[in-house]
Amino acid sequence: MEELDKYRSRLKDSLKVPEGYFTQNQNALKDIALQEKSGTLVVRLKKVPVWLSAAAVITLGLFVYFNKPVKPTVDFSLNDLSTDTIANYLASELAYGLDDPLLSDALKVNDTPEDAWFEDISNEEIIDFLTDSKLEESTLYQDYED
Amino acid sequence: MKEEELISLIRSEKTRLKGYAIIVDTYQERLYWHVRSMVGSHDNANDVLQNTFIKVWKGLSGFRGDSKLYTWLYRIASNEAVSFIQKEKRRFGSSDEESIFVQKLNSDPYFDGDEMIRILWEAIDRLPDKQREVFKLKYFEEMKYEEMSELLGTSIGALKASYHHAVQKVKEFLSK
Repeated sequence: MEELDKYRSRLKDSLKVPEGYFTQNQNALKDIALQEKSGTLVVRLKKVPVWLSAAAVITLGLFVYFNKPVKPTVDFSLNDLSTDTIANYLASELAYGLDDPLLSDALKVNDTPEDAWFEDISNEEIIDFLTDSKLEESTLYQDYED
Repeated sequence: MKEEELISLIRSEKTRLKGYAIIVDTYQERLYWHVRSMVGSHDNANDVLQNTFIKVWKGLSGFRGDSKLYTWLYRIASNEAVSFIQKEKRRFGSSDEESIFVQKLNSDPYFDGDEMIRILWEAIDRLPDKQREVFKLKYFEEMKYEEMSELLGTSIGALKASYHHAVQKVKEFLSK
């Protein structure tokens, strides 16, 4: 063992970090919580407008022509994700002791195919859309829950 | 701050953010080195650490205190690192000649070791998973077997045996 002991400090010292990394990273890691905390509402609002806008156009069109509204729906199930993706996700998640709601929430927020669409839309566009459409937040959540 | 106090901060929604900040201050460096020794390069370790703390924040409200806080953090970080390595293997294909860790280490501008140190890292990386984990905790962190036993959920006897075998294998590799 003594043979290996002499390398211990050299081995440790061989891995470097940029100067001031831990101090800077401390702030970045703390920001994660702040972003996630404020991001909860943003994520929800970001999820709604894309399909809601499409549904709103259809609804308006149908309303004009047939004078009856159509309720928007979201068709998403685990079938839209590959088995590999689900297996990897669960393998990395379950060991943490996260409860079902968190897991479900994470799947909804991070792994739905819709997210790929929202990445192309800026917050400003979403806010503009909401302002223009004069939708109330309660309506959005009601539709979202539906 | 005592762990019980920190856990009580985490449990309350009002003080959770403060508790999280204390966790970052207390454990980020330790977790970084753990992750770095698994993934090799600084950039990758940085990414994995970010993902780890996202999971930590998301999971804090569900942390029940059944295990020690560091045990929970360590498992999240380990799983994130393993997940990263698996993704990299799928991306680049696994090679018996050179592991993902060695590839990353060789291309990392923040690696500063001579040939002997490079070979030693490779020897450690070639250990079976459990032996490598035990070896790193003992060799680098000089962790006591009692603490390691709680962290890894393995008996002290089995840990001692794993460490003994790991040391023998590293020595053998170095003597080749």
